[in-house]
Amino acid sequence: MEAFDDRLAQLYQRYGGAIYARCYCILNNKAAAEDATQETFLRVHRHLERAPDTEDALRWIYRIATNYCLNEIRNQMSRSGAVETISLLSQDLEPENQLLDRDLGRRLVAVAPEPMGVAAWLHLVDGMDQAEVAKVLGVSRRTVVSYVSTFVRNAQKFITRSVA
Amino acid sequence: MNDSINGTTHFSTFDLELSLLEGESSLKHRKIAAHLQGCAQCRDAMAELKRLHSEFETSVLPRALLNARSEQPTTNSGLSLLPRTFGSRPTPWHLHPAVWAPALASAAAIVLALGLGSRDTGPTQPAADLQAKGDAQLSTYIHEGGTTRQLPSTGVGARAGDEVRFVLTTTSSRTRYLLLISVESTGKTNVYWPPSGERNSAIRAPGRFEVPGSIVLDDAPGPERVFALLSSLPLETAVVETALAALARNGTDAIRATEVLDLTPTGGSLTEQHSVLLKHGSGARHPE
Repeated sequence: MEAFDDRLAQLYQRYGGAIYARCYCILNNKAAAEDATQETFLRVHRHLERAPDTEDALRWIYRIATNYCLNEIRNQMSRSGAVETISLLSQDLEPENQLLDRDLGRRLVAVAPEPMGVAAWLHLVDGMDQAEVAKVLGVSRRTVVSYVSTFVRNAQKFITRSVA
Repeated sequence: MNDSINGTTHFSTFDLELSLLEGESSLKHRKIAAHLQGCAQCRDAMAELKRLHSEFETSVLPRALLNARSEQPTTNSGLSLLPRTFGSRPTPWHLHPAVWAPALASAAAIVLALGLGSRDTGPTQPAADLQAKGDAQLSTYIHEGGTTRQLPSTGVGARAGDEVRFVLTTTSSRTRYLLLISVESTGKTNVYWPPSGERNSAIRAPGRFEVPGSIVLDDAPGPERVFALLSSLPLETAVVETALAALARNGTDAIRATEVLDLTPTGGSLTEQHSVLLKHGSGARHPE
């Protein structure tokens, strides 16, 4: 158990700051980011035996943090009246331009199925290339391409419907 | 690098993070440093990352360490040292890095910080109305709209999305195992503690045990009764689930009325049990 705790401690010591920054970038709120960081490491602890070494460890925790944060946004939207907020969005229908807006990205990702939303966030908001997204998600690059293109297509439809 | 956005080339935040972690000697760092010279967007992104790292080290981590010092763990179990995230935030505490930096050298200190990094100032009073026979006490707290309040065991209306946390307080020092499990009116059971496995796990005693994390209520209608089962030996979750399924078959009134579960098949290792009724729904949150 001691070695187990030591491993968790090492991960927290090395990646705590990066994960806090990660959570803040998605949630845009200090308190929420702090909570999310702790929740992320709680999940890391639960699955510590799966934690990879070296650079892959950050990818793995990054993915856990991203999933957690996007779920948080989804839950918040669900609590506050959900997708109605989409009507408050910009009237610009160019999806690529729209997705550069973090707030819009948050909202769109929140209504997308989980793997697709996470892939879209990593690629379109974080600026990760598709190969890197594939590594983080543990899927093929082809799958990432499919996720992102489907997301963009659906987002465009979603925005069009909301504006109409 | 991603060149798909706006036709320009930028490093992803992940790349920037790796560069920070790997240090100045790495090839990636040098490559990114060169890129930052001519890219204001990536430079801003890197500056923001550095600011957040600094914020973590000067604000988030010291608070955790402060809490680690103010409470002493009684076990080395990692599961008892998990973060607490529920409740209102205390007064921000700013400690000079020099004070806590030496503690960073100790991995154990970080584990301690993780486990006891509570910013939870809400649930501190025991729930007088939740006492059952035995020396343990189950308290249930609900968090919504930025406030935390304690629930009576008799049940309360709760909205979908509300977060619920459980705290078990024991005064006896004997080793006991906790299984926190619930049954919904649909017959669905949920194991809230332990987080995984087919048997319950020992909790530290005496003391206050906060079940890590919170549960977020869904919009399923009807009651959900949560049982905290304490035993001298680990309980088989499957046995308890069978008893809960039988309870659910008797209908929602039975779930509402049954505060003590019949667990004869556990062979007498069950020493104490407590329960609380949660009533899901989107309506008023007053007791029925």
